[in-house]
Amino acid sequence: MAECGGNMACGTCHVYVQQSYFSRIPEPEEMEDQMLDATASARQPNSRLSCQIIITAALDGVEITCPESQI
Amino acid sequence: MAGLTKVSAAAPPVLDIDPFATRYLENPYHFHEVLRGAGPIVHIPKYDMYAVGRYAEVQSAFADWKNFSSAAGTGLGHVQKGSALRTPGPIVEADPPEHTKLRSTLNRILSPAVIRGWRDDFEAEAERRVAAIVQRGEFDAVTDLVEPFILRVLPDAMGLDDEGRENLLPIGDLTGNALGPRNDLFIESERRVEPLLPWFNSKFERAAMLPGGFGEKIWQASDTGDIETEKVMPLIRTFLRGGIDTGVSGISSMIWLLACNPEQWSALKAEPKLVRQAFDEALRLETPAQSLFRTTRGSFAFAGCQLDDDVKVMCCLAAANRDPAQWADADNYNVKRSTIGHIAFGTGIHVCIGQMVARLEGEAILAALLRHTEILEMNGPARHKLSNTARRLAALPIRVGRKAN
Repeated sequence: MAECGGNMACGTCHVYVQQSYFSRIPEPEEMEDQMLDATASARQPNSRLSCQIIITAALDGVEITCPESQI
Repeated sequence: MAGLTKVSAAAPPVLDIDPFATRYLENPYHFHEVLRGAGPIVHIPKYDMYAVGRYAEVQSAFADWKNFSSAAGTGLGHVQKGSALRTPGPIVEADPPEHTKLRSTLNRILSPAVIRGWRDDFEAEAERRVAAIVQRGEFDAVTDLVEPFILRVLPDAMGLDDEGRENLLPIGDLTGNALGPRNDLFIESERRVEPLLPWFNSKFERAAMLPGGFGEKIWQASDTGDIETEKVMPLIRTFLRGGIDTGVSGISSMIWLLACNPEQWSALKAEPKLVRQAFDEALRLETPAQSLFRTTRGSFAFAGCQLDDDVKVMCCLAAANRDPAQWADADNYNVKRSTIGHIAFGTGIHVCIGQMVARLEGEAILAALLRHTEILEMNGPARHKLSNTARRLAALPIRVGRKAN
């Protein structure tokens, strides 16, 4: 959904990132980490806010799963 | 020395108007167009301020807290010097690093998980009010529905008792006016609030907070040292000043836009899952906080212009949200539009902390209206309240009911 437009203020763009690609994404900053603790569907070890993922060549082919609920 | 010519960018173009003149406040869309058309950033001599209204520049200014500081206040008045001198607000009017830790603590207190916990209460309240009011067939959506709803749910969530809640409306009105110049609108709204201040100030006290509310949680954060004690009362004041009138404004505007655009109401009837989008689209078009201010820190180049140090910058979120360079059919209300990136809640480190509360309020009211009425139409002219920086309906006569067969 991404309601807040990339401000790490809503948690509605929560996604699960394919495990084998997960470490290729830079670690979340504190704001994102906090928001991931408050998502509608439970945080998993591979949880991220999609608005903070910059797509690079290293992520070519990555599979992203949307959680059951984002609100 | 040869080759060391420093080329300075030119000063911003001059826009010689008064954005707070009645004719612009009455017709903000005209002002938005004038502002966007005059340049990426302009200088307005009457207030010796800069102003930005194009999406790209408003977005950049809000993203750049180092050059565009909030610490001198987010209104036109410079709170660090001159006649507007006062203690800056603890969260809204602070830059990093002071801002960072406090914001992080408040993010926890008002996290999406906490707000989801309020959903049942907000929805039950919306259901109860809407079910009762549609029985009447005709009503004023602002005074009969949205104001009482917001005055119920938000102070309840904070943990405020019932007495005197209606005072929060003139206090919200003052907030919108006080961000502008000290004109008649400002002075008049200040005069109305003056006698309410003893009541208002008593509501920040720890003893005033009912158990379980987020007001109590803010106080508790001062016990653990996460919030400095002297910041607690100003913080609670910030929430009460900023969270009531803006919510009333956004939801009223949404009902207004739906009543004026029957095909959008029908689209929503056919696809009720668009309720949250319908609310955000209303915020884009009728941005409750039309403008907020920043202050330049140092002299620097911005959008091809050279800016001076310590000058106020009026950032017109409402103009950016209607910028045709950003939005196709910018002036049309379209519940199917992707509204991602609208900046009615601001953007950057100061982005509205209550935005998920506002969305929950808007969703609860609209979903209840969709359940209870087939038609939603105007029943007379809508009227706006003039304000220096707020877009706020004062009267919204509505007719509801079943379709005639």
